[in-house]
Formats: sequence, C-alpha cells, structure tokens
Amino acid sequence: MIGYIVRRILFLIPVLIGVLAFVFLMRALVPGDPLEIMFLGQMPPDQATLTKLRHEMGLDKPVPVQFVDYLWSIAHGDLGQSVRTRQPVAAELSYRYGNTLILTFASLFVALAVGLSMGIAAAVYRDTLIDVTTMMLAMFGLSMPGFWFGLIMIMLFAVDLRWLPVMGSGGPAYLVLPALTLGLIASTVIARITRSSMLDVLSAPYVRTARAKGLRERIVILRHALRNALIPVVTILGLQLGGLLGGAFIIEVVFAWHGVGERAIQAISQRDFPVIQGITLVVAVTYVLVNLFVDVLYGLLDPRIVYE
Amino acid sequence: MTSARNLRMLLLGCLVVGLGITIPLPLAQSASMPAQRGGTLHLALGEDPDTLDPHATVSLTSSQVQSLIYAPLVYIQSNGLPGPLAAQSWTISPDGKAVTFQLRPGLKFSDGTPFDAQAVAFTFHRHMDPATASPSTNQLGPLQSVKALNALTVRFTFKEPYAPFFTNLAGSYLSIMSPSAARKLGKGLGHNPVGVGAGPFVFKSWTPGSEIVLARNPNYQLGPYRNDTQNKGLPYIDELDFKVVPEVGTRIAALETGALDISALTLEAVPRFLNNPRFQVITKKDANDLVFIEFDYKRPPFSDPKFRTALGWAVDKQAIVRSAWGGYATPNLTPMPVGDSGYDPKIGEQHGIGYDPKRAAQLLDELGWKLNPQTKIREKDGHAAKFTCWTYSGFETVKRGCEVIQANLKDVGIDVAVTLTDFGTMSGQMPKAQFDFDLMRWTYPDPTILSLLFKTPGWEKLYSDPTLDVALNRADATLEPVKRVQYVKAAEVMILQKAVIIPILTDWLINGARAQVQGLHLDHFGGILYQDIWLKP
Repeated sequence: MIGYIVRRILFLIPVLIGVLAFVFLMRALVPGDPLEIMFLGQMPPDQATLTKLRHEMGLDKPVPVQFVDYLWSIAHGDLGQSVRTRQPVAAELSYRYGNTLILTFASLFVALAVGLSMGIAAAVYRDTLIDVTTMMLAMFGLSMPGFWFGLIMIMLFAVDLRWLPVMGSGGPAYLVLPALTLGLIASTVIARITRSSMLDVLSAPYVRTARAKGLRERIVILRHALRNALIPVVTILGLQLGGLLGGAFIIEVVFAWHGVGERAIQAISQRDFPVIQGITLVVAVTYVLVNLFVDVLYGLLDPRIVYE
Repeated sequence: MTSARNLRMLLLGCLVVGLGITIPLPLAQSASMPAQRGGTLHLALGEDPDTLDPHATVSLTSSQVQSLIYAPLVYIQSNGLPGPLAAQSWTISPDGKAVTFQLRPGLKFSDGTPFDAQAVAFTFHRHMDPATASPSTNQLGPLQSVKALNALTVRFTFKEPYAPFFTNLAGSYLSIMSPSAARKLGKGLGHNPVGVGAGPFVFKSWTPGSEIVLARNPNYQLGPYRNDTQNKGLPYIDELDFKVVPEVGTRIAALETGALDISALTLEAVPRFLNNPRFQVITKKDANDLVFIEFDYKRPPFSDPKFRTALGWAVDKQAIVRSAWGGYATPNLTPMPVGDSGYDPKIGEQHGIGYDPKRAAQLLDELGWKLNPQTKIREKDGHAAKFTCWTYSGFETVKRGCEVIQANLKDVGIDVAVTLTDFGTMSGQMPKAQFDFDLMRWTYPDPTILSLLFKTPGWEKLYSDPTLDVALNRADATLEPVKRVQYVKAAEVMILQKAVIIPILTDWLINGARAQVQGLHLDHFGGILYQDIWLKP
C-alpha cells in the first residue's frame, strides 16, 4: 500500500511537468503578441512601457528559454506577477485558494448527502413515484446551467424569502447558497450512479442471503448493499471534484464568493496571463492530488482491492 | 463589466456600463428636508481594483475609487466645459502650447501637507518618469514639462497645443497626489493610499478581493467650488463601503434586498424597481456613449460612401431605440455622444442619415444593386448583397440592435447574417479587413472621441481621410472652448457627409437606489457625486 502511494506520488512528477508545459504553452501559443492582447479594448500604453513590460515578463527571450525560466521560477514557488495589479500571483491566490476549497468541499458534502439519499431512495423504491420523481429531478438538475440556477436560488432564498444573504463571504450563512447551488447540480450525477449501482447490488445473491437471515431492511441496505454500491460512486467522485472546482468558477462570480475562480474570470477578461497560468496550475495540482486520494480510498472501502 | 464606473478615459463601450442618474426628484426632496449627516453607503464594484495608484492603472473600476480620494486641478462642468477646482484659474499662451494654472491658496492634502505647485509638478514628474512605467501616459498627450513657477503657479508646456488635456486633467489618472505621502508610501501607495489625496473621501481599508472602505475627508476644502454639487461643505455620508460583486444580476438582487444602496440596472431589471415605493430609478440621458454602425472601409462595396449612405437610410434608428434598448436611449444622428460638448441635434437634422427606406432603395438602384425578384435580394455584377453584421458578446442590447438592422436591411433587399464574437477576437480581426460592418458602442467624455475613432488610421486601423485629419487636428489643437466646439462641429459634418459611420443612438445610464438615498446625481463623466448623498432615516 505504502509502496503504491509512493509510486503514485512519483508518477505525479511527469503529470505535473505535462501540466506546466500545457500552462506555459497556453500563453506561448496564443496568436499575436500577448501584451497587445492584454491591452485590447483599451488605450494601450506607449511603446516604451510595452517594451519594459515585455522585458519584465521575459517575453523578449526565445520561447524555450522562457519555458526553462518558467520552470525555474515555479520550482521556487514563484508564480509570477499579475500584469494588472503588479502583485505576486502566489500572494493573490493564497487568500483565495482557501475560500475555493471551502466552497468545493461544502458543495461536495451537499452533493454526497443529497445524491446518495436520492440514489438509494430511487433504487429501493424502484419504479414507484419516488423513483420517477427523484430521477426527473436529477435529469432537471443535470441539464440546468449553474449560472442560471445560482441566480434563481438568489431570487428565491435571498430576494423573495429573505432567508439568506445574497452574496459575499462573511459567516457560514454566506456559504449556504453557493454550496447548495453547486452541490445540488453535482448531486444529480451521484444520484443516478448510486441508483444504478444499488440496483445491481440489491439483486445480488448475498443481499438475498442477508434478507433471508432476517436482517432488518435498514441494515441490509446501508451496511451490506451500500458499501459495495459505493465503489463506482467513489470513482466518479474524483472526477466530480474537478467538475466542482470548474463549476466553482462561475458560482463564485454569481455569489461574489472571493475564491480563485472569481479571480480567474477577472484575469481572463483582462487577459492577465500570469494570473490565468497560476490559477490553472493550482487547480490542476489540486485535481491530481484529489484523484490520488480517491484511488487510495478504494482500498479502504473494498478490501478486495489490493495495491501492489 | 459593471456597476458604477467613472468614464475617465477612452474606453470601448463594451467595457463600460456606467452608473446612471440624475436628477430632479432626489434634489427636490433634499431641498425640502435638511440633509442628515452620517451613515454608511453600501455600494458595489464589478471587480477588485488592480491598484489605487492613479499612475499604475487604466482600469475604470480603479478610477471610480481614485476619483473620490484624489482631487484634480479642474473638473468638467455639466455643460462639458472645464471649470476651476483645485486650480482657481488658468491662462493659455497665444500659441496654445503653454497652460499656466493658478492654484487656490491654503489647500491641503489629507495628510496635512500643502497642495501647491510643487505637489502638482511632483505628480506629473512621477507620472512621466519611465521608472513608473505608467500605462496611462497617453492621457498626457504631447506634454513636455511641468514646472512650478512659484508656490501657487504651475506651467504645463506641450510640444503642440492639446485641447483634450482639460478633460484628461479632470479625470482621476491626472489628479494630484501629496509628494510626502507618495514618497513615504513608495510602492505601497497602490494598495494603501493613506493621506495621499485631497478628494471628498479618504482611504480607510482594503480587503483584497472583497471590499474597499472610504471615509469622509474631515478636511475637504473643494466643496464650495463645484457648480454641479448642492453640498458646498463636507460630504454627509460617513463611509462608503464598496463590495466586490462581479455579476450584475447579483448586484441587482443585493439592491433589492437592501444589501446595496445603489446599483446600475440592466434594462431587464428596470421594471422591478420602477413604481416601487422602496426604490427610485434615476436615468442620465446626456451620457457620453455612442452606438453606431462602422464598416470595413478597405473592401467594396463598403469602401464607397454612397453605399454606406444607402445602408444608413435603410436603418430605423427609432426602432432600434424601441426594440433593442427598450426606449432607454436617445436617437442620435450625429457622430458625437449626447453628453459631450460639441453635440448639436441640429447637425443631425441637417446632415444626418435618418430613416427613409425608399431613399435607400433608390440609392442602391443608382449604384447598380438591382433587386432579383426571385430571391428578393439585390445583386450587382453577379454578387448577391449578402453581408455580415458583427457584434460582440456581453451586450444584449447591441446584439438586439444588430437584429433590428438585419430586419431593416432585408426590407431593402440586403441579406444580413449576425455574427456574435467576443470583443478581443473582433477587435483583433478588424485591422485584417475581413468583415463587412459592425455595430459598435464607444464611450468617451470629450469631443476628441472623433479623433480617437477616425483620425488616420482610425481605431479599426482601416480608415484614412487626410482632409478629415486636418479638421480633427485643428479641433484638437484649439484650446479656446467656443472655437474648439465650432471646429468639432465642422468635423462632425464631414464625417456625416462621407457616411464614415451611421450614428444611431446614445443610451442612458440607469441607476436604481433605495428610496432612503437622497441627493443622488452624476457628474459629467457619469460618476456619482457622493458628496451630495445623504440617507433619510
């Protein structure tokens, strides 16, 4: 097990280099002069300032040299400097990253709580009104744009009912609406997977045996069936987390939740490449690490899975 | 794109949705009831400002906050002409290349140091210093030197006369800073501008990414000198609390719940606030924006002024105002925004291209574009009149405008496809001259908008007309306001005669505010005059 984890961590190195190369190429491959693109739509600075900025960003060097420089600074924890704010990207992201993680994991909690309950209910009460209703809801949620759903949530819970604040990142109350929005959307996939996986397991001989032993239905479902049904759910969990991180970008903007996503949208609209690159890198690394964690989780859930 | 923004510099319309408002109602109320001091005004910014160092930014959001902290030498009066603020008067040398300002005696920055000629010279030297690498040096024009002649007299010398300087001078980027505060703060000025300005408010705190708080400047001295404010003393409001809220729908929802006191409104949101006793909706109709059709001048048939004119007569400007802007716009047949000096509706009446589809059809016939009775589309030399109208994302109104144009042109036998793209792609493609025409929106508070748009090579980098250049240069080099307006108007007529663009409308700035907010109105740039605002208990 330990050996497996160490190997997986070592395997992260080429993945990260790939991510870094991609993030770097993102800027290098954009057609045209990155600086010119940065000032599109507004009065550009004069030539001397552009030259200075180009030099500061190392854009006057050959691309391979730029890449080596880039790797070197990343290795030293330096993500570069925002072109607009002239602040270090790492510093700008440090206070936002925590906010994004809070939102992502709160949403994950919502997604799991709602998705699992819906999926189990739909499987246990298969072909009843409960099944049809929950799956309809799931379908509805799956096809709903997060952005729009967020605004509807604001209109309902903040404007009409006045239960929750519209936006901001103050106390826990501010977390409820964005986490619900993001979590409910993600719960739909979990609900569908849980349902089908539960249906498979429920028809398995060992569940019949458990029932035949006279175990209470609750024990059969939660202890015997669910644990096996969870394997595919865990598989998509890692992928879902990527979806949540991505979804958080839009949801953060809607709810003025001051995370990296909100900053990313701003940086994209300003074409502030160092910030965009920094955020892409941070999010990619988070995603890779979470999936490593999920893989390790398999072993804990299912003793049959042994890592060698 | 968003919320309250002072239009302090050239900016493409796509980046600007100004805060709107003006007028009579709140001012009338404040006259009948004495203004109350105190309270916090809850406001929103569309993004976290990049910096509050006026020399390190071109952001309109930053400008909006900066304009409250720093004080300029002059301000732009509601008639579009410069008025004295920190400078009490100025003289212009006969050749127009030197402007000498006389400052008001006894002015102080919020750190207590004197606001004098040395401070003015320091500010401009800092701005021009290559080490500052300021992205906004083009605001300075051909400025060569700034020299303090004595404690209260400062001379600006230009390589050539530069009339737009006064508008730029009134903006936040060229406002004056305290040399001692600036030296003490060094690089920290951008994020902690304490004691550095002489504006109506002082910087209190900035939580990065989240909020900026300003407090009343207890020593504000310039109150008596603005003729666009009612309040001649200190601001009534204790604090301005700007929260960063990127999404406009969220800002409007926050206004509805009372989490914000003022917010710009989208057209779709207006009905929710109109005739609602809890809110007021205030519009500023003399805004500094212009919506117009521009062309790919390098390629036929749009290289031909007559064809452009024909197309212009086919477009129903009133219909665009009605259907695309919901009536919240003023039809404008001149190339000058309604709120800019030099705007004259008479020019539109006499030289403008109105709506007359018959005339359009006749012109097209004369040009040899004959209607094919089968396809109902005009043809010339085997080419069908099929063109594309470009527009950019983020502005629903502009897109709807394109759709009205599409319908209008179909009536005269021209088939138009509407292409929606993001603004960066669009403006990047433009100089390549591979499009037909587009619907554009620009905002600029000075008549030099004409030069920015049309002086060779034009903002699209596709237009060149040496005679127009001469006329525009003459207007830009004339500092005497009345004469300048005269020259500007002459250039406007030339632009219309050659149908360089088809002007359509100036849209209004629309603001919603809670009913408690009193005295809400805007300056020439569309920025809120917060010193007049007070809260009814």
